[in-house]
Amino acid sequence: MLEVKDLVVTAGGVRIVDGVSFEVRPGEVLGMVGESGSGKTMTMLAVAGLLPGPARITGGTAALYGTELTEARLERIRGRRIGFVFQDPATSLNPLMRVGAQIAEVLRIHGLGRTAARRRAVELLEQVGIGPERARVYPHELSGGMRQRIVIAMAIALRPALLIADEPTTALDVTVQEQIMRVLRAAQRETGAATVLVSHDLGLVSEAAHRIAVMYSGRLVETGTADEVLGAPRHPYSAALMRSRPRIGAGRGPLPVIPGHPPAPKSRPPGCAFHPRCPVALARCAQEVPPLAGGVACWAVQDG
Amino acid sequence: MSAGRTAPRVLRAGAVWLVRLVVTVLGVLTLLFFLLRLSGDPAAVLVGPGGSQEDIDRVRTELGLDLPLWTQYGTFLGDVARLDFGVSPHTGEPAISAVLARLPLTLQIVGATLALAVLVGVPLGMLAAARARHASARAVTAAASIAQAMPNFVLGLLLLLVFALWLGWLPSYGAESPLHAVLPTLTLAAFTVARVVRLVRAGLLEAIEQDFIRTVRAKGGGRLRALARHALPNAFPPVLAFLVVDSAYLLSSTVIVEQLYAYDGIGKQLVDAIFQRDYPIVQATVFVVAVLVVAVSAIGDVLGALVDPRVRREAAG
Amino acid sequence: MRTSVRIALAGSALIALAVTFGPPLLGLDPLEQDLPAKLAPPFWMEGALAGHPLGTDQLGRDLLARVLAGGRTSLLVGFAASSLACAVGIVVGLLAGYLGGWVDRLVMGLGDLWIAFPFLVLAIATIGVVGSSTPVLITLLVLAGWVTSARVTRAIVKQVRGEDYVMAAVGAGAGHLNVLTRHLLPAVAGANLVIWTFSVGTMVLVEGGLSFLGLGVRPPTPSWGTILNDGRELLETAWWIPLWPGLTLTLTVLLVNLLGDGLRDTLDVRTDDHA
Repeated sequence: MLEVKDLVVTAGGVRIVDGVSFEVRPGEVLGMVGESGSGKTMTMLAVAGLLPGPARITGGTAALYGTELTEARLERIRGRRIGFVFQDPATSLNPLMRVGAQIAEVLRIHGLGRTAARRRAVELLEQVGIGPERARVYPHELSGGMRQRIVIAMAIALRPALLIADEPTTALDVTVQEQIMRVLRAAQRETGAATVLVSHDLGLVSEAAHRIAVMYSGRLVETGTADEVLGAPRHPYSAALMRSRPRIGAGRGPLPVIPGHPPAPKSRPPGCAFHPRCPVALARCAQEVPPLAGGVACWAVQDG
Repeated sequence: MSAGRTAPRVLRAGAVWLVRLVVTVLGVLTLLFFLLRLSGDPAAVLVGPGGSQEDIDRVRTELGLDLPLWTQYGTFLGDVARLDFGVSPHTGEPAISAVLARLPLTLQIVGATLALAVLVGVPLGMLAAARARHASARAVTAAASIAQAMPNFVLGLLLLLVFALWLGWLPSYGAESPLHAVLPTLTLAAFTVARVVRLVRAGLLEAIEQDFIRTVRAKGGGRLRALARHALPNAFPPVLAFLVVDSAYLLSSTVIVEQLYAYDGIGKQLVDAIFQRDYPIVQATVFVVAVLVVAVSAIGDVLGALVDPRVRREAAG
Repeated sequence: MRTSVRIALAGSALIALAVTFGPPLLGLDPLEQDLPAKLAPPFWMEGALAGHPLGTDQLGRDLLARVLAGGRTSLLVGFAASSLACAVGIVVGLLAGYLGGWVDRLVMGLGDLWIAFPFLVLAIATIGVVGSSTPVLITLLVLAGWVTSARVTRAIVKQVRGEDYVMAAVGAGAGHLNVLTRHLLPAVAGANLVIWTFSVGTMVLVEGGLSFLGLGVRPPTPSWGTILNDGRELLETAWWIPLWPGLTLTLTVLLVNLLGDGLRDTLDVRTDDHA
């Protein structure tokens, strides 16, 4: 059970994540969607305490099963209670270390003996569909998809309570994306972890997620079950996002696009960040930030 | 990875190195040969300014210097193949034995320098990277800049003056005891250690930004594990490449450092030989140094392949 | 420009000006012997002499005059050798990179040999044979120094040769010489400026080392290396003789290295041969 409340992440004086709150229940997959730069990755890196250099948490809390995730606590539980799958498997493995040893390392860090760790690493390899003989190869000898399976094996090695997958298939060939998602979902079901799947790919999220959170310019604009958000999006941004995805049987012709560009966090307009691009914006939208109420942060929905 | 494929690989790498050894050593000795022959009359030089024309002619015939240049070159190559560089006119000893007898003393200070580079330079570089904004790291970086700029003959005089002549802690001149090697080693090592500190620091600061370091942190690994176990090996290839090139430079520098401390290695022997016009010693020294340089380069390649599996694969073709 | 680069630039310029115009302006003669005034200590010590603020050597020659004049020799050798080495390196690198083929392979093979060889040993052996003089010294320094510039130049040419503006020039019928001088030369200028800067420091160091061994600049001409050599035998009694050239030499190399680092960052060029 992950609870995030009013999380604020600041980098260079700019709030790149601005007051985000959400929950993920055990066994549930939350799909976190939004365009690049919307703050979805930063939100999850902040939860895991892995923010890059200049970014800092400047407000809010995150708690796992009621225990607040402070920096000190994260140092102890990362890898054991929280597993993280990164975007680019080409760079997320140490090129100079055998992959078996890299999987075993997470087990060794959290107290397993050398032999036990090695044996378990081989089991994990099999679990993600890689033959045990591959434990002794180096990352450069594996394909991108294989490497991502290794990263998944490391993330689920200690059956974490929280599994975070940040764009796990974006860097891969289309043909292997499907396989990796199958491995990931099987691992998720097997461990029963509360899972956050961060992706800009709505198709992917619609297949895997139980619930969906939509982010725009560092803020959460809509949450709900997958069926609700995908089938009947309420926030004008979510609605525009759903319309812009390609669908079979939707007929020919250009896909509708959202006019304008998402604002960079530092030039975020006052009020609702989406209002300059919003077809139904009210005067109020340019002045006050709408709170997330009833699963949607929109004055037009709440007032109208 | 099977032994059946490994053996030809090793053989091939060995063959490449053999060719390289022969080409380097031959190239350098050929250059030296023609410089020696073209730059004057060695016979006249050997006999000295007081010698008569008969003396000069006798020496010339003795040494085969009256033969055509190409014949002489052929003879020279034959001699090199038998490791025969002639006899030192001063000691009557075969030149190659004289050089090999002094070699251990030189290897002692060069080896100690390389050991210091790894044992002192790497930890200091790690410190400078781990606490990049801390005063101690800044002090290390600044000291490294100065050590890199200070020529070994200046540092050598300074150390000699302070530790041998003023404080009397260490012996000044000679090579009688291991203690005599301390100041020459420190003098030789300052630049190398300083370079290694800077290379390790720069390499770590670059490696630490990489995604796989974040993966280690995500696995629950601490900062120290990320730095020492993961970033450091990735920062190592440039350090290794530097140490290989620097070994050649160190062998050169022993000439100055050994002369300064009257330390009886091959460097001092070379300078003495130059002033005494002892050409067999000069040629034998150049030969030994060339062989050493190629050998170090080969060892460097092997170590590089051990550290980085990607290089191993490339080398295998 | 960063502060450190400004300091390095100002410092190097100051040293160059001091050694060039110092002796004539101050009316100092580095060769004038004053035996009664021999081995005078520097100004802060007891027994210092009024006309010799930095002290005198064993022949009573003024050390301030010698360090300034010696600096001129050292820097002249350094400038001349690194300029010539860069010029040779640029020409060889341009040709190797532009022509390719066996010229390229020959140059690169030679460079491999060159870089692996302990140059000082060969230089000492050569000087032992042909005798030492400033022209021999500069020739040897150039022989040792051309490789870096040649390799980097070649790497850049290989990279730039295929770019549009060069192809366009060739397509428009520009001759080889035109392409080389108008298009390729400017592309390698930045990296070579950086290499040249570092190389001045290296050349001054090597000259110092050889002169220190008595195999470089011939006495009585002072250079920082020869003054250090003079001071060696009198280290215990007159340590100030090697102190001054040691200090100026270290400071010069430090400033030149700082300047090189700064230039490399400012021009954003790589000076390894994987450019």
